[in-house]
Amino acid sequence: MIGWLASLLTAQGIDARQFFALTKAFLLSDLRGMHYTKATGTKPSHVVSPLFWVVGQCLTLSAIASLVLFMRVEVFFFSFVNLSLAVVVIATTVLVEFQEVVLNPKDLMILGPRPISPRTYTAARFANLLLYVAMMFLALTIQPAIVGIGLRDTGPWFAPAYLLASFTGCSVMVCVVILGLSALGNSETLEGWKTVLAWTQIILILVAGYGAQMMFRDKQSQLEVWGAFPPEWIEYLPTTWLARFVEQASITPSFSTLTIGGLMLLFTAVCLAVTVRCVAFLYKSMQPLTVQIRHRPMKPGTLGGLAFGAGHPLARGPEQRVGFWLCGKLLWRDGNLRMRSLLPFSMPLAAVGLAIATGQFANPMTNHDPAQVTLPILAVYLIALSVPHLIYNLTFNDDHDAAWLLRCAPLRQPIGLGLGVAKAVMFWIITPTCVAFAGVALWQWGDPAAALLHASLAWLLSWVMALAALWLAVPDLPFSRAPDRGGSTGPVLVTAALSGLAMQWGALHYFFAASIFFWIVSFVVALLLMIPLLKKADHRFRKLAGGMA
Amino acid sequence: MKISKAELRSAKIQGLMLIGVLLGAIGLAVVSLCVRELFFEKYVREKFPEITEKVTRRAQFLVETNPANNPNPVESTEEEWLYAAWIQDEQLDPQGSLAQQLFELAPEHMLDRCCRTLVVGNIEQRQRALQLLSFAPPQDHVDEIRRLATYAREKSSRREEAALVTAADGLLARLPQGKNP
Repeated sequence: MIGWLASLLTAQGIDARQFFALTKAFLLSDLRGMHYTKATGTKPSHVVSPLFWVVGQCLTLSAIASLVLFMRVEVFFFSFVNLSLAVVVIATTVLVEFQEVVLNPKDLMILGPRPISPRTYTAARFANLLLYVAMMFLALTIQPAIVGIGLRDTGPWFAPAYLLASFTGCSVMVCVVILGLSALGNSETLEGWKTVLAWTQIILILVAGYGAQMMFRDKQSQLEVWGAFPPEWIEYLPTTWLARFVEQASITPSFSTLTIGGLMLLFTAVCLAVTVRCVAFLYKSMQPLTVQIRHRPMKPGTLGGLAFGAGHPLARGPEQRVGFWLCGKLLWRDGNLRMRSLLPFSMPLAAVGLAIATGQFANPMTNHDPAQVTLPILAVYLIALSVPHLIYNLTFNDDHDAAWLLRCAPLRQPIGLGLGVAKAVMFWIITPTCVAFAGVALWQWGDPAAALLHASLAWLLSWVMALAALWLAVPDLPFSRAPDRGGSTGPVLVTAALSGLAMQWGALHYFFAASIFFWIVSFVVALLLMIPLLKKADHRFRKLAGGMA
Repeated sequence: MKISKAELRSAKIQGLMLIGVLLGAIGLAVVSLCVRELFFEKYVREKFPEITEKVTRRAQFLVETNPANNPNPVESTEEEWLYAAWIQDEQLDPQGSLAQQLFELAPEHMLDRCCRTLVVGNIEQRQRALQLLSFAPPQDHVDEIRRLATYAREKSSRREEAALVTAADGLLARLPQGKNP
């Protein structure tokens, strides 16, 4: 097989030995791609490579989508959902790994001095691209293509029809991404977006998981009805056209359906030919691309202070101001840090969304049906429980090398750093979340007092949890450690202990929410808890800063 | 045989691991097909609350009593229970008296309920929903009835459910200016 391929390559003017060596090197580069290291919680040096997890995520996503919809919806909606997911995910994977898979300007620096002909390089690059896209295509297509055969309203033609539709959709999307990015070139903004897009699979898995829960619990069966009678705008989506083709072709395809299938293949072939031609030209005339570095020094007026008026009263003392500023700045700048830190907020968001969608968002102060009030009560405590995880994750940061500045700085009150971070979290994240929660509760309950009390309790408990996290959860000074595998999960025992405490508080909330004494006692206890927690956190930070043994 | 970490990280072993995962996914999909009736189709139906003896008696009373002389007609709070009883009891109301009362009370809600049952119900539930739909007064909601009947017909036709196709055809033929697809 190899000998036959080598002869074929040699006949085409390609050095077979160089081709195999280059393809292997490119494949290893794909497997250890850096963009997915954060989103998959793994490193290029690990045995199980980041790409392996990406393929696993694609398979998980398509398995959830296929099995949740299996037998519950008709062939059109089944195909539409799975094809849409496949097209979106394959576009993001090619976009994120564009440099590893399609075109890497650094190749010229490494391979330039070596006697490799442009033809050989081009062939190896295309072989690598083909392998990568084929793997993603299979991971996203294979399960729905098989599972769909079992739908009651399909026939034996479902699998080939679905494979053809998915092949067309994925190939055209890959061509569009490659041509678009080749025209765009390298850019700083795009690199930032790649880091965020690397989380697409994780986000889609969460959406599919929560969506499935919502679908199973929804007594109105809104998703199934929506799929059976879709709105008119859906007809303008390309994946709708592909799903309609699958619907028509899956039971004894007519001549016109077969013609459409042939035209789809022809269109795909044209797109692929154009892309191959353009990219081959790029490979042959590739020049190193330059990245513009922008220097943004802090303005003289903002040195040693905060960029907005309310900053000084909020963050007292230089340590708190440093923590406050660093937290806001890094959360804004570092997409990975943002995603890792804000991921737990999907839980309260899901609880509120699920409760509203299923009509189970009743006021716990007036309703005592556990089915009606469990989710809103849970949401209050899930907001607070997200904070320790968030504070813990703010210890890890890509720019951790600069933490020596913090360690060398003359910190009179090291806890100020942690408090600054906690205050920034409260100001930028928790306060808007609680205000939004109050707004939703007011809209649903029509009771301003109840909405305000619940949002205030969530806010106050979040501050208590932040202090508890500064004492128990943070392993080092803020932003001073490199992100590590599994680091985003946080200390399990602390999370379990705080969750247990919050759930017991939640149980009391359920029983006594109607009583004003519950609220008075809750607020007083939360305020009293702050005193010992602050002392413990202070002690902890003095140790971390090396001030006390 | 001992495999070193470097060998495990080689392109060949990593490629084999990826192929293994893809084969596992194919296995999972095939297993899902094999247990289709046992784990998937068994649970595909519209879930209704359990019908109590009181609801059954009330439904029977409404079926047997002339609506014009009924001192205790259908109330809006009873719609959901009576709909559930109607769909689940195949012997109830063969003449459609209760169905007509329900449609008179809340026609939009009843059409919406029929729509939901036609989408998520099993074959028996869909058959009853189509039967209930046939008692709807066509003059006010002809488009909606035609839309639902057409949907039911297409769905049943693809699934080769001949009885349902015939019922849907009959309903479409009875509709004013209706076209039998």
